[in-house]
Amino acid sequence: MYRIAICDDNLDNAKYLEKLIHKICGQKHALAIQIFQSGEDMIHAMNDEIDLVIMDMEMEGLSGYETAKILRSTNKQFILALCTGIVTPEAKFYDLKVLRYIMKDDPEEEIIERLTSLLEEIDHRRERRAVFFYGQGKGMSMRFDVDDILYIEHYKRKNWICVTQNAAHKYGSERIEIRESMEEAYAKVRRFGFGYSQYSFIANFSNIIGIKGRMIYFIYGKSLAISRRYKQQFEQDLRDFIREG
Amino acid sequence: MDYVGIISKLLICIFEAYIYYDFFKNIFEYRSSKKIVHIGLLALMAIAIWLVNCQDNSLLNVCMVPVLFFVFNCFLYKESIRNRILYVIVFFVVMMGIELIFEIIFSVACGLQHIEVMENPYNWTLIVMVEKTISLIVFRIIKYINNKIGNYIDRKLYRWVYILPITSLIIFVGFIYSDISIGVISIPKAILLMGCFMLLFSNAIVFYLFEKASQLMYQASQLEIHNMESKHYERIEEVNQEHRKFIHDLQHYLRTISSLSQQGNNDEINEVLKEMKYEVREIQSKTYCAYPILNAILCEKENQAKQLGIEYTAEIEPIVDLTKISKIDLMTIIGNLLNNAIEAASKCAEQRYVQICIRTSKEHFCDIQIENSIDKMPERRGNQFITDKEDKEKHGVGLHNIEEAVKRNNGLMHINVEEHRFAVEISLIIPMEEAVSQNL
Repeated sequence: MYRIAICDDNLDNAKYLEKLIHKICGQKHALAIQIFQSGEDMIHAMNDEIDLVIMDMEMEGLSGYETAKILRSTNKQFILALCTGIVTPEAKFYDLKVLRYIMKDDPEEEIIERLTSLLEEIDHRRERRAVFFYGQGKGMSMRFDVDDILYIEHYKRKNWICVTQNAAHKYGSERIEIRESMEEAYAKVRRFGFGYSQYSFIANFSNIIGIKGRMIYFIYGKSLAISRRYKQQFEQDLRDFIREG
Repeated sequence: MDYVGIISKLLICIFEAYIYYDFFKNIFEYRSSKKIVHIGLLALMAIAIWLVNCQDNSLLNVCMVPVLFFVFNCFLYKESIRNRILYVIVFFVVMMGIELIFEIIFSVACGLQHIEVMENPYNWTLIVMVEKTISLIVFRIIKYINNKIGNYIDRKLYRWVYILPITSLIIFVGFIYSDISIGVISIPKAILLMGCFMLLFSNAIVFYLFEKASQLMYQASQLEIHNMESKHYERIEEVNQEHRKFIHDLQHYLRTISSLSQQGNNDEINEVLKEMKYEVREIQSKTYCAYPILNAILCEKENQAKQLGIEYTAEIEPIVDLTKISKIDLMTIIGNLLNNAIEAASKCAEQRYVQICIRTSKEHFCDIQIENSIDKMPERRGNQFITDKEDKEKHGVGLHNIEEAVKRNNGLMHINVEEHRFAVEISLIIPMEEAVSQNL
């Protein structure tokens, strides 16, 4: 089921978007769409279970930006799309982690295209939140959120998943041993944007915050070297990952 | 002591004072901004060191020279005592270390003749010149590594300046070993020594000029940024005027719609509404994004392309945030690539187009794609593309600069060439707060 919230002080616009979403999904997906006519209403009613928020930028009372900022302060997971009639781009919107802009004046096909990509992103994010690996106990399966993984490492004949400092409490440690081989682990995570930086390291592109020469830097101060042999392929994969959008 | 020795020592002390000044000027802040004060204090320091040197007492030299460095540092620069002591010690140790290492190498190379060679004032002067030239190179390399120089000048080009001190070293060592300096003092030898001193000081002058050129280039780029920003605000003013005009026309549109609705002419009403939408879009399309410098570059290149009859398409995601990339780098990357694209497209006989697409991706990445039509496949030398412009050297530096700027900003650049199509793909990692704190 897709859980969607639309916030627009113009009810006709909100209904129009709702109609288009129903048109895209047809009978394939169950939908739970909530419509709010002000930022204040939305803030009072919102819960953490929401997948997608479509927010009008120009509203009476709390603006779209202000509402989204308040929502983001407590929930970083939902996908945010801003809906506007006139483009008033401002760099501050970058901090809201807006995934798409929907222009009200755009032709219906274009709006449908954007809504479709937003709905696909819901599926994609759900998949990212549940990648399973075999842990050390017999038949023990562990669920990983891709965004928590920094890299997969081959060390002392064993394979390990290294997670971010913040996520360590979820998994009990910053390094979790897995039973999959490096190739098997790579096959599981490749589509989420991972690449070999060395024979014994598979890096998660999403958590890279810098590249200097042959060094890649992750959040929370971790870094890895890229070997000469893997450099070209690594850069190619990273470029493809960024271009996919 | 003879007059050659005395004058040589004084000139060496002046040169040493220059190295000292050059090293500290990028680290500490001046106490006074007046050049004459700097020159006066440095001259006093050179004379003080010279007076100490004239005593020919090594112990006195080792004790007094760092004290003099420290005292004059207090007069010249503003800094905490702790940092001042630390940096003066570093400077003195490096200076002394170079002299010591050179003395050891030289005594091993000359064997027993070492003392005899050193007693001759010509030889002594030439050997000290070698030491000071090496010191100059070492301190310059320290500055180069610390990125204090050559920021606005091609760093590869800057490395060529080192050819001069290396040549000087070869000449000085050559004079020492060719026995020219041994024997009685004569006028031709004094002229030769004077030439050597001029060569030594020309090293300092060339480095100074290079640094000046770098500063001028920086000022020029700042001026260009200022011009670009002015153009952006002119463009915004144009848009504002069109907004005012639209508001004025709105009355007319509303009256027309009102009279058409009374006649029940819905088709005509739709036509009027379409026209209104078109006008709104026209006004909106004049600003690509909120970042003035990027918007100015895109608008400027749009004008250039239109004048050359090139179809120009710019798709810029409104939320794209390139504010963390320096203005100079942004101009280097986007400006240069669009220039190249427009120039290549303008040479096409039939299809002429330039497309630029900038969008954020996966929250902290940015994808830039610039594509243009080409008439013929560009020549390659290895992985490098060779320009067909007349000024090949200048163009080569431009492409190199783009690549350097991309690398500086955590980016990857890829060029894709197909028949009639040239595309540059740049993937940037936009620095998040954490990356900034890690100095990435």
